[in-house]
Amino acid sequence: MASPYIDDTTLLTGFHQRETLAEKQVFQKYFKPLCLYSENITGQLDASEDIVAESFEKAWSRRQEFQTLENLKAFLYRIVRNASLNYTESQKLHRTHHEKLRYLSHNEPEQGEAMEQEILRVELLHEIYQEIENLPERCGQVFKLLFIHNLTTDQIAARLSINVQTVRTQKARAIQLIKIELLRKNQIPATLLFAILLEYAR
Amino acid sequence: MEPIKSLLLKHLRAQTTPEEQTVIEAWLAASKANQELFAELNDPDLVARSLEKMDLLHEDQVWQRLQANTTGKPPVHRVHFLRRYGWAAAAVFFVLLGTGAWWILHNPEQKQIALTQQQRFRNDVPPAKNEAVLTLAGGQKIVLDSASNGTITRQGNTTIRNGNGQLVYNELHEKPTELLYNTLATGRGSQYQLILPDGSKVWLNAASSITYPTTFAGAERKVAVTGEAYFEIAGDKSHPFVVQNKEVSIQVLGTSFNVNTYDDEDALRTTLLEGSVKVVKDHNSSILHPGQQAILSRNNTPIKVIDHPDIDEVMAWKNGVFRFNDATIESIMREMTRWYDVEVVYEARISQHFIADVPRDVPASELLKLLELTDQVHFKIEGKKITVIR
Repeated sequence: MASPYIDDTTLLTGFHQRETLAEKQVFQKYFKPLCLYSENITGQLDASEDIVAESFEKAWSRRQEFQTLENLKAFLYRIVRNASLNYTESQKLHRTHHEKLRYLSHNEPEQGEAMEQEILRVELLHEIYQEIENLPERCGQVFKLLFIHNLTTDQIAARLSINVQTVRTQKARAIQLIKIELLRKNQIPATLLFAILLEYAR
Repeated sequence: MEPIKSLLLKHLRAQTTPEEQTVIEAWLAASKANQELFAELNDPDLVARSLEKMDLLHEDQVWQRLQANTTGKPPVHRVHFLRRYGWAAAAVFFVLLGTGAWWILHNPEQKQIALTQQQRFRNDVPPAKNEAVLTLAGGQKIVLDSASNGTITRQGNTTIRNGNGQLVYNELHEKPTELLYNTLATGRGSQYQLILPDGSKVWLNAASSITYPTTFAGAERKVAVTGEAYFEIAGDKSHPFVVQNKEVSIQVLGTSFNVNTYDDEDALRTTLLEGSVKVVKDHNSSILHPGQQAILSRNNTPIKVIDHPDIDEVMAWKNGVFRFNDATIESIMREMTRWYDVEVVYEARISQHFIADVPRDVPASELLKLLELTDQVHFKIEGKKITVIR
């Protein structure tokens, strides 16, 4: 009930039938990890976002060809990868990402494996991102600025036009929220998030 | 999800069993690349750098551009129907009235409650199901549930198909004979979806109903609602869509909006997501722009329009969540009454307000347990009765 499409099969059917909600769900599932994947090749987030946007349009126009979501995903990663490599070639952006690029493009036998590895990486990072996204709005904003963007309490207050006390309050709230969430799931905390939290909670 | 991915996620949450840890170690030993990935995931600075990149992306804009480029339609703004509750995000806490300050509670054991949760929760109550009763033009009633899938009947020149909690009206290419009215009604503890013969979609919340013709023949497409419903109206400028309620009438072009007309709520609320609607009450009317909400109080004051209602809160029911934003215990309980089909008895007055985001598909005890985490309120469940205690 959390979303209209309970499993991959119904989602794919909805996608084939051009249902907006299905399209959006597919888009949200792959958009951010694909951008991160492309950025690792191009080193330019803006360019990668455009590459990914165009790749989605290609996939949308060929939607009926995908028998499974895995097919669609493989297609997206493949064309994003090719477009990112082409972009990098055309821009001669070999400097910072030279090593990685060589690894991706010239190690033919290992290429598939490296791609798998990279997809796994961006998908895991996306999962972590979504955990933070699930925090309520203001609380999530403060959390992100503080923990991801490394802003100080004063900077956040200025950015969000709220007072410093509110920032402190929301910071405490974010910490509390994550604790409650973990408590509810009977888990000991995510080592990663918890480490960050402890560091800033002091 | 491929096994190693879910294992690594479990590891990040420190949830792995020793056996699973062994699998991860074998995976680590298999390649240097695996070790590098693992090291990255365990380094907060590196992770934060990637999270920052994802945060800088313009997901909504790219989505709208994709929509515009692939359908030829102008880009539309939608609420986040698909807010990801995949990992069942749930959190509850309370606001101290007046100050709005957060109180972090450290020690739930500090306060002694006479009975344990196990003693107080004698049984559990399941969430609402996809169930409804369809009343045909002749008065015949059909119970709709998962057992009654397929084409169920025909009304005039329209066939009615049922499946997966959704009722679909399909007009045949024949001349309509006469105007027939059907009613779809949900009880407490149930919800349903409906696709009208013009393609308009209706989501019906618990304890609600909608009456509509089986074919739209006249100049207007007119339906009547009670309770709460969300509409996505198929555009047809020459046939305005009208939603009628005993107190108010809502005139619509192609649009999406939510109507909450529950009798036990303090006001009748119409919230517009897209398009344009006109809310008419007697000789008084207001036109809404997307993102606005019209509030019609029960005490006969004029229609009030507010600019920034919490759309996520309004649409929470349709998106499969409870979202309480600074809500009183009474309003939370009213929603539970409808969703879980329970009676509520108050043995204490709770003045704190609560904030919560909880999936709707959980049994009642889950929501109550979360509220209890604040230590400001406790409950007893006996059969279908929930008692609010301090």
